Amino acid sequence: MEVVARELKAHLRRLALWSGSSLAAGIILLFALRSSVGGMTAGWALVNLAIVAFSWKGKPPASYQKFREFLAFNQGLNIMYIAVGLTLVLSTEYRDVWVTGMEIMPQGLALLVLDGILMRKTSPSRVGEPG
Amino acid sequence: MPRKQSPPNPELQKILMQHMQRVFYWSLVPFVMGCVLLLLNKPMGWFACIGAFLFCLREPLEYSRSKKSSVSRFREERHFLNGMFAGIFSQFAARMFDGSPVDRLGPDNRLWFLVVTATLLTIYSVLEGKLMRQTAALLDEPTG
Repeated sequence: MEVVARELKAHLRRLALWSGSSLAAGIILLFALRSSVGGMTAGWALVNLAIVAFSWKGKPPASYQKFREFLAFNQGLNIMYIAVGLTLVLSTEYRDVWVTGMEIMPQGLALLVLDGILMRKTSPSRVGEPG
Repeated sequence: MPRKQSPPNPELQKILMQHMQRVFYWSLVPFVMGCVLLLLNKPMGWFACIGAFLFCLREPLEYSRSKKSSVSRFREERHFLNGMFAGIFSQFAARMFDGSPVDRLGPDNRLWFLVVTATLLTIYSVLEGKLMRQTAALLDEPTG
């Protein structure tokens, strides 16, 4: 579980970096370009930063199996965020809905990549757990 | 470090067979509800019937897939699919309640949509919870 704890910290650092960039981009979009997508991007970034802060202090996962299942569940959610975002973008004629779709997609994609990296780095073959 | 691949577990097959029988039995509830609803509200009646059908369709596919899969791998993949379901339902709910122009259900349909969705989700979560408890007992490591 040492590998998992180490990789989880590295994941939280990557997530913090992405969220910090998203927050900056969101604020710029909101105030400089007056785009409503900025508010949602900044809001999503703040939620992610809160998760990072909460998880950083928390204990490392006690069960490897449960940790992998939680990650798999998250990956399912991320794929659906992208699918729903794409559906909204492609299917709507309303600007607000289109903006929502455009905001969901990159966040879902970023989380999919970040969680994917963590899944790969904590795969059974690397950690030495039965797969 | 060499990968330690867990072999398929025959107990998993037994548990999945029992789960499949429970799913077939319980899917009769949304199916009958859908048939009655067809008389009152056609679109939501179809929605309930299709939901019941999808319940039944998934399990034989999972059963055949599990023959090659270890318990831990099976549970991981099941959680992945559950995550996808949670994602789509949360987005449905968000679109329904935020007054978006995408929501074209209307008040009558919305009520029946909630009734059908609540029924499907309740049955699904209860049966899934039981399956997860049963398969957790097969793992080498307790999930806590």
